[in-house]
Amino acid sequence: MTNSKFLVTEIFHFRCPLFSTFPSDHEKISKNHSLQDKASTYCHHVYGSCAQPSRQSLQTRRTTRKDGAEERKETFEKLTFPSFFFLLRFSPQDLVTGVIRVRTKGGLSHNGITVNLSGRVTFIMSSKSVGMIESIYSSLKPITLADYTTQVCKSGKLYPLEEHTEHLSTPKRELKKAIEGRKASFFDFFLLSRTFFLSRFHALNAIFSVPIRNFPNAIDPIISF
Amino acid sequence: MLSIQSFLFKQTYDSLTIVDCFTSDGLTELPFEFRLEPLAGQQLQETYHGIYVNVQYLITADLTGSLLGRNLQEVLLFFVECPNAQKLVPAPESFVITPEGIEVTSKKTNKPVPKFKLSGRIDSKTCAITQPFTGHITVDECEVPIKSIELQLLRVETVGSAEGFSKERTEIQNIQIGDGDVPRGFQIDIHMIFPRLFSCRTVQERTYKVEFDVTLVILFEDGRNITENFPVTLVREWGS
Repeated sequence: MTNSKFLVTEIFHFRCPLFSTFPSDHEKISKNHSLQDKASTYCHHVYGSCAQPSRQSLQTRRTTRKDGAEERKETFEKLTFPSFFFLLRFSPQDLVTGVIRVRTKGGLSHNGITVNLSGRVTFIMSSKSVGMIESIYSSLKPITLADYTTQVCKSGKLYPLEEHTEHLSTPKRELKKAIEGRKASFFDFFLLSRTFFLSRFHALNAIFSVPIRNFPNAIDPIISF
Repeated sequence: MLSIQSFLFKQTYDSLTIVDCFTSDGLTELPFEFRLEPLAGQQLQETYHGIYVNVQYLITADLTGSLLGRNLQEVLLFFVECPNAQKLVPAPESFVITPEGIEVTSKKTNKPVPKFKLSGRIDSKTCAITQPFTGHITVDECEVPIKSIELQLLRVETVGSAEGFSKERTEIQNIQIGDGDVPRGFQIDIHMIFPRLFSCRTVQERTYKVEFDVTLVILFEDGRNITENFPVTLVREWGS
């Protein structure tokens, strides 16, 4: 349990036209410098112009305003941008698809894995117009726009691969082991990857029917900055 | 050769389908899928991060631990964009700023208002959020030296409740379009991109409103400034 790491990653990679590699090759993508440069310029110009809009950041912005323009710019550049999925956008009625990855060393027993999608509007009353105490206590109820939960895995145990293959029939297991032990030829690997691609992509066929909106539009003017 | 190929294909395919979502190194992949649609009686809004209004969409994965194990959670933010149904109709506006048309707000200085004339044009007050805000401005005449010409994007957030409503104007971004004492009669282009995270389509709901303003600020070297405000309507077109 202590060794297990629970990760939700690459939720949006399937819809990204920039990623021509196999979707779960997240490392490859992050190594691709040109892509990262693109993303960083995008982030810098679009989101880097101001920090996370919290009260604190607003104050820092106000104090720096007295110092002059150059000081202000420095404070703006502090914003770091987490990942690529910010580049992707969803419209109503789109399919939001992804993969939850659970990395385990040894078995991990659990009482189910659920995924929840939620969208809400939250408010903070301005302390200027309502008063300091009221602004904290009489904060308005958030509006829930969407809230869906599904169970992706029933309670049970997650195994590492070797334990899991035990129930397979012998020839299949042998082949599997051969491939894993890299005893198989390059050709086998090719086929494996191909089938892996195909099986994966068949299962997630619907994702590709979703059109990607304004992706080039959003990128181009910013890079030309 | 072909038969071997198909055999191998079948074999690997079968083994993989049985293994299903389990891959090597104890890595389990569990796919999921949601149709992004609003709850009954609601309408989806665009992702927006403001000071007083926030619209957030999250995907939360929960692993409920067994008796002794602890629970694990991971949260991921994602973006939603909602195109408007109506078509974008450009609403250009020309403006002339003169001392006669301005309102003196500060009473600290007793200096007379300097003579100046600024003219310009905004290509549209109804803007597509994916397209830049464009226009131009010309300093026709100005008797005092100019320090800087800046363009500000402001959010106007209105939140209503039983006690009343609060309406706040706060700055999102500020770009400098003219530095120093700009030449007279020179046409300066206005070009501003709307930031994605901090701007959204103009929202006017029953309990809250999110609107945007673009303000042109002309700073003089003696510290005084002139501001001209343009309320803009942001629209997201279908397929844009």
